[in-house]
Amino acid sequence: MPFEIIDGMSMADAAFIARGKDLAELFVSGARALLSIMLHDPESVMARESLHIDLDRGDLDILYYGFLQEFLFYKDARGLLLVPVRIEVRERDGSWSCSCEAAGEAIDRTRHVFATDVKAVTLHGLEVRREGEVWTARTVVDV
Amino acid sequence: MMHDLKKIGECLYEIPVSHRPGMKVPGRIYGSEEIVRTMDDAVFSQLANVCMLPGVVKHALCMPDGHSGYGFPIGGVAAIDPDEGVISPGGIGFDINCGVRLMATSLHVDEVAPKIKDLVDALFNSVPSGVGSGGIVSLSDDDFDTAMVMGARWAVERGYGTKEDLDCIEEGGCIREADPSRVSARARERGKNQVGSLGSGNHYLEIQAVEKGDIFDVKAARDFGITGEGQVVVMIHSGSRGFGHQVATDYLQRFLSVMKPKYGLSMPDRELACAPFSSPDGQDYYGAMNCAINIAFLNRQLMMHRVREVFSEIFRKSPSDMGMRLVYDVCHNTAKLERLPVDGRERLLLVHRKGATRAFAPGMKGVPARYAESGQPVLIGGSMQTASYLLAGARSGADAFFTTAHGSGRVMSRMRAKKEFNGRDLKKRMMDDGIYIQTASFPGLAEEAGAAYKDVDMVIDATSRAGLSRPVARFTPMGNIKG
Repeated sequence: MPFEIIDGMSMADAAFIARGKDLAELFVSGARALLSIMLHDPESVMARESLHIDLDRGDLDILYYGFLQEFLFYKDARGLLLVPVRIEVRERDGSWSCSCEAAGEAIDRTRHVFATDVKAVTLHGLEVRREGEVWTARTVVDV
Repeated sequence: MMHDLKKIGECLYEIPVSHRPGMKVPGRIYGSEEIVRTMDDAVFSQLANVCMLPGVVKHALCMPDGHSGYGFPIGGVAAIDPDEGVISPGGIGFDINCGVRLMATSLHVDEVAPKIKDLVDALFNSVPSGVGSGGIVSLSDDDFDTAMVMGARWAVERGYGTKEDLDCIEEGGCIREADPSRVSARARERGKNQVGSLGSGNHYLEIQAVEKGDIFDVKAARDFGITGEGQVVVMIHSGSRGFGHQVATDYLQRFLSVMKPKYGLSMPDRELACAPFSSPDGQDYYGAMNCAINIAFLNRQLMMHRVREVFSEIFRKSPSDMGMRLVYDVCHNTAKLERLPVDGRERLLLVHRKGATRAFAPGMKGVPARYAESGQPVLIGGSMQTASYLLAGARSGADAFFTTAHGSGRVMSRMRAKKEFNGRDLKKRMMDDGIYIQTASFPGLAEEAGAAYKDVDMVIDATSRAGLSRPVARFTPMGNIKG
């Protein structure tokens, strides 16, 4: 399973573990988990427009944290629900960056039924690590 | 309960400094034994971390409605020496100046009950709520900058409310030292289309009534405009929306990158990232946070104005003819500079309150003149299925930096609540109990079920017995809009 919503990490908020065979897949899983927490039916989001996200953040976990924040920013600032389509995660001289093409559409309250709103990604217990052949990341989000 | 926790008062427990290396002061938890037993273990660990903040004075606190959060526990309080200590976004929360306001009316429950569906439906259509709703006003970039500085005054000067409203808001609805130049372009973009909107999660707008026997302090109640049984009031719980979240996010990341290399600071939890209050980084966050405090005041002011308009349409009377008067507006996610007594000496303190309410005693500076004898009104919202309370600050609250609880406090995670309750069934049950509800999200409604929270009456009892604030009146929900 690319992600799993978990209980017991935060009384008032929501938490999930994302997984991927590589970092690109992990980042995609994380963004999809966000959408799944928010929307009753995450498949209701159509790829009607796309945009590019480039981030350079130093540490890998802070890059992942910043990457997830992008999706919340576009939701609130532009009213867009997005999912990553293509992503490349790179490390150079110990500093991590990513380049992502995301696609989605404007919030349509007749089709997009919100279960809850994710308002922020937190650093609480944030952990990106490799377990054997699988990358995992544990994240708590403010709802 | 953790083994190091010592009972030191009727409703007061202490984590000693010796509990963990790095603690500079003890941690204190207010609550009855029953309440403290229900707190999850992370509360104690998070409070111990707060006790390690540079410049923390006397003791760090957790209120009776406390539960685990990130960085600070929810209900966490730390008074910091502003000259030697730090400011931490994790001690304020993402939803900067999330707060509650209460408006009294002269309407009786017998007049309102027959129209409750019309009222709630009209409010649901008029007050933007839920994700992607937009706001009551659409602001230009210049207007948004002005609003960040003026807060609720911006609304009143444009006809959304009266000057009397401003007298009954913490800081007069306009906190000083707000500096829009410290706010990122992202925060502006994220916030400016949401001004005048309820939001989601545990935010709500509720029509409530005073039931028989629910006025506990007749004199203070009268001072606050609560005049008798059957009186109808309106409560609004909301904050600074995406704007405050982005300000907190921006500075959390910035503090994380500078705290160690620039200031030599380290904390056991990254959510407690901090910077010296007097440093350029600390002052930048303080200026931006105050902008978010003002936007939250403005947000609640605009929604209250819309409530007045809706009541006017339904009852065909003016707001003044219906006695629609703001009782008070409290913040519960802030850091404010306050002059408070510490061991017999007045000190300037930067009081971080995260899910905790200021509760100034009678006669203190900062309490509106009309409430000088009774003390600052305090508003504690219950869950949407249970009662909410009006209280007053008390002199016995000095040891808690004049702070009290902010809600009833969760005891069940959102995930578990969604498994245990069905939103549509809950709505039906609430209607059977006489509470008419409209919601932007049924799963969200299930998360806010009354059983997911502590018993608010028990929290208020502990708050009162601990001397943090005095109960004045209790309000029972009649109708609710949940974001």
